[in-house]
Amino acid sequence: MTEGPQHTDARGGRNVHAPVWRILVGVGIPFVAVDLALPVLDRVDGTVLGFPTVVFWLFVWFILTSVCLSAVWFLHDRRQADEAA
Amino acid sequence: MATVTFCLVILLSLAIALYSRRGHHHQGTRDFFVASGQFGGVLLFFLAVGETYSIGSVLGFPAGTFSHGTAFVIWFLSYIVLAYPVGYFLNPWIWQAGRDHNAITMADLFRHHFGSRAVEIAMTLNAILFLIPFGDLQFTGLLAVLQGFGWPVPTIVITTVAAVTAFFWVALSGIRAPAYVSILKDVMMIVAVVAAGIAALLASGHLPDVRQAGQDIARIRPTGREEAFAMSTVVLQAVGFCVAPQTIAFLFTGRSRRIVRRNQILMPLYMLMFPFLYWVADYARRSGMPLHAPNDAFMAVSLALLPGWVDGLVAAACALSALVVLAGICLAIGPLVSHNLLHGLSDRQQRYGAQIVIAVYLLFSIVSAAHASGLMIKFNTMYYFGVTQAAPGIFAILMARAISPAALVAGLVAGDLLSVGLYLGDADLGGINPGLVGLVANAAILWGGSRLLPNRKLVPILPFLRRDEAQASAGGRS
Repeated sequence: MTEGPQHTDARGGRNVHAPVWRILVGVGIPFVAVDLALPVLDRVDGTVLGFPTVVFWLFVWFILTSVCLSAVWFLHDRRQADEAA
Repeated sequence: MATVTFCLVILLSLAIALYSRRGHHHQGTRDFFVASGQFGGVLLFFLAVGETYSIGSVLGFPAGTFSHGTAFVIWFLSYIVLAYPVGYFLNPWIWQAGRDHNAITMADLFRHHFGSRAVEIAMTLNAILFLIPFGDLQFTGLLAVLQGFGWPVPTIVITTVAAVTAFFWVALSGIRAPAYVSILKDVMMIVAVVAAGIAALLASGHLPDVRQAGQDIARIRPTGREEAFAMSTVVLQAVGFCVAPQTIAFLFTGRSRRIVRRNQILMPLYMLMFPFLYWVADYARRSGMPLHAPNDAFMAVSLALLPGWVDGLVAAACALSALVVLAGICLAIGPLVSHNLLHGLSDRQQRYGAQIVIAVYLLFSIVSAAHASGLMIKFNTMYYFGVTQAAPGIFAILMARAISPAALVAGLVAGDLLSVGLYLGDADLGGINPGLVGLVANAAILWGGSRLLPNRKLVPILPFLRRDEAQASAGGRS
């Protein structure tokens, strides 16, 4: 998770070198776990805590999606310059 | 007692709408529609989630789960939860584009970025057309709640009072009213959903075991075609969710890019109300309770299991859900007409013009809901087909590709016509969502057309694209 040099431009000090891992962790993992996993999980029988397995999996990903986004925020985006009104 | 609770909550919402006007008696157009971009994290969060979870979620999720089991649950929940990561990365840059162009509507981005009136009009008409059924949907949901409540009040009276309330909020303080009332609405809605869910869960323990008799939701499994529909719909709607005209307008109320991004982290946690709604649907199905329509499941379970005063609270939460979303949609449509379609109006004229448009829209929605038009239901199904077609254009703005306005409009029209045509023609796509097919065609036309008809070079909003630009210019200097 090495980051490249931080560059800013003249318009509001925007970061112009955001590492790719942000996208992989923030969107890639939830997308694979939620959308691409659907055909597999649909075929899993049984229930977890009374919910069908695929439904329980989705409920768990409400929390894990937030965890993925938190990781991106705290490991990188929190330190980036802002542009406020 | 239920009636008293209901009326108290509605009166409280009016008091909050009045409070939201405090210090903003002389609003300009920008303040009226996007609060001059002054909202902090809390108001922006409640405005966003308040407008996301409408009465359609509270009534529609248990209804869909009741009728279609996991086949419905997987696409409905998947696209919402994936819309937040997409928004985490996309929304801050849409906010930035809005700030750079001083925009109050999505169409403003297109007007300022491409300098094309034709593109602005095309995007405006597309947004209005696909937003039209939302008013009808809110009124229909409201009627389902209040009629289930058993009040002997004619439907026309209910819808008229609701429309007057929504108009009153909007006229009082523009976007500030639904934003402030959203706080009450969301607290109430969570209380109502959790109360109904827990009551259903506790009551389910006393039901006979019907899991082997086919009554259990878990036994309604999706087919291969339904899986293909779910997976393609998730992609389409997760993107469409972020580029919907009202979503973009609400982003412009945010005070900073950082606030817009940070809010996206918490939003998936708001979805933890859905397990409670699942329990409601599960109870309705397993108990075999008589329902006039699946949409009645939530209210029927609440009325059967909760004490009277809580019923009033549940009905008020549902009513507020409808009214907050209605007010938000009104505030999205109003300026699209008075600001984007009609050029040359003064600041004051734009604001009053939008209020006239909103009044007409509410009137149309009342009439439409009264006639329970099948056409509106079809339009509502096609909502994401249309609003998502703005996505290639939005990405073109953020990346500042050399886009031809003609190609942008051609792609938009082709995407709309193809999606709607495939849907209405009942074309067999193996379950693939017709809107996604239209979106791919739209993007292909935009890309191909722009290569044939290049436009002027623009400045990218997305920073990582600027890096390439910076490197290119540095290479040129050396």
